[in-house]
Amino acid sequence: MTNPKTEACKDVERLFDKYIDGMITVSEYKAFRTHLHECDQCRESWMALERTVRQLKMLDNVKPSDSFMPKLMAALPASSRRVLPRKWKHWAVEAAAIIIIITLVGLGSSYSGYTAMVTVDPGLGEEQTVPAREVTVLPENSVVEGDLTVVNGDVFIAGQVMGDVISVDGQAEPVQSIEVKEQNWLQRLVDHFVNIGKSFCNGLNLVF
Amino acid sequence: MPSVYTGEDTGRAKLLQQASDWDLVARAQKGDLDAFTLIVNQYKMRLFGYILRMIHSREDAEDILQEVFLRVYSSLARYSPQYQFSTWIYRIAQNLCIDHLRRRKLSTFSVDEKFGSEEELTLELPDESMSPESIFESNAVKQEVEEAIYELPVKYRSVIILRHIQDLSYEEISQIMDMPVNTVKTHIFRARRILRRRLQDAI
Repeated sequence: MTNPKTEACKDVERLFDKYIDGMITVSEYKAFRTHLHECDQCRESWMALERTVRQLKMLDNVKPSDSFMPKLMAALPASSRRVLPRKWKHWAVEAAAIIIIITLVGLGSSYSGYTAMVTVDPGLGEEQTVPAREVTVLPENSVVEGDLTVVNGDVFIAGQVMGDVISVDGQAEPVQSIEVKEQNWLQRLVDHFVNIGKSFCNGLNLVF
Repeated sequence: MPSVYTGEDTGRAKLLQQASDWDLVARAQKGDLDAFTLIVNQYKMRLFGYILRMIHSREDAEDILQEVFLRVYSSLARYSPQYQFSTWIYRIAQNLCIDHLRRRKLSTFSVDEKFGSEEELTLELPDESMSPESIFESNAVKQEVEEAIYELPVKYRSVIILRHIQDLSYEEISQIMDMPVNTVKTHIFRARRILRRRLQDAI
């Protein structure tokens, strides 16, 4: 600092921030402008401050990685009792859809085989062919005494769940009845089913 | 006269933002996941900008950003519209950043060390992954500015980011930091001058 600051300099210094924040009055602004015109030191001081704030405002926007959103959604707590009254009309109906059905062995289910297509009658008089997603069917005579957890798929529940239905990244739909039609070419999918069924049953809290 | 006018913004844009926030929050409170997702999309860039500049680590910043939204999600039932949503969410972010900085500091020193004022949170061991070049892919001048912000004591760092990068009003910052407006002003005036000196020497 070359010259000691005068009272006027100190007064104007106090106005710097007011100007930056848009809070300066007209008379203050006149004094501010006049002084800076006359005082080199304050003018430099002001310009450095102004430049600093301008540099702050020019910093780049930063954004999180693309994986942020999916990771967050996956981390959301699974909501219980998420048996959503979803409208059947919103389902996209695709032709020749392949549905993987997991039979809950040992629960007295009335279905022993696997099928490729499921025609589900929700009791609204509308038959819908369910589109290609991994689907779990809880048949009519079956009871799950604990919680039913379904991950990354949809579940149609015609049976009973004593605990909570927990659906993570999928839909859970109560239906009146389920009719399963058999097809012939399904054998090659059986191994696939068995593996899924095994891991799925491990994931369920089935209490017998 | 060059203009850096950042007037107290009680303008239309902010009011619209508030109204839209409240509508989305109300829907999210009723379980509307789409509304919650919209809230996330509205705030994720702003919050990430704040968090990243507070802690200077991309990976940790994403973890904290996720934690902010998880907390918002699980506290939705408790949120009341008397608090502005934007200040509420920033407050969560700030607290998590300060917790993170405390934990980071504790992990680099012995457990016995007396933990002093928050100003000490800036005294950290240098770490390659935290250099501005690796965090902010921008030019040398901007990196210098980022570094200067990061060198500020935590309270000053927070107010400067909230004011001049996030463009929040003194009132909003006062609520986020739970500090009177005049204290916020003093911090900002002081922080501006520290930055001015720091950047005058360097650039």
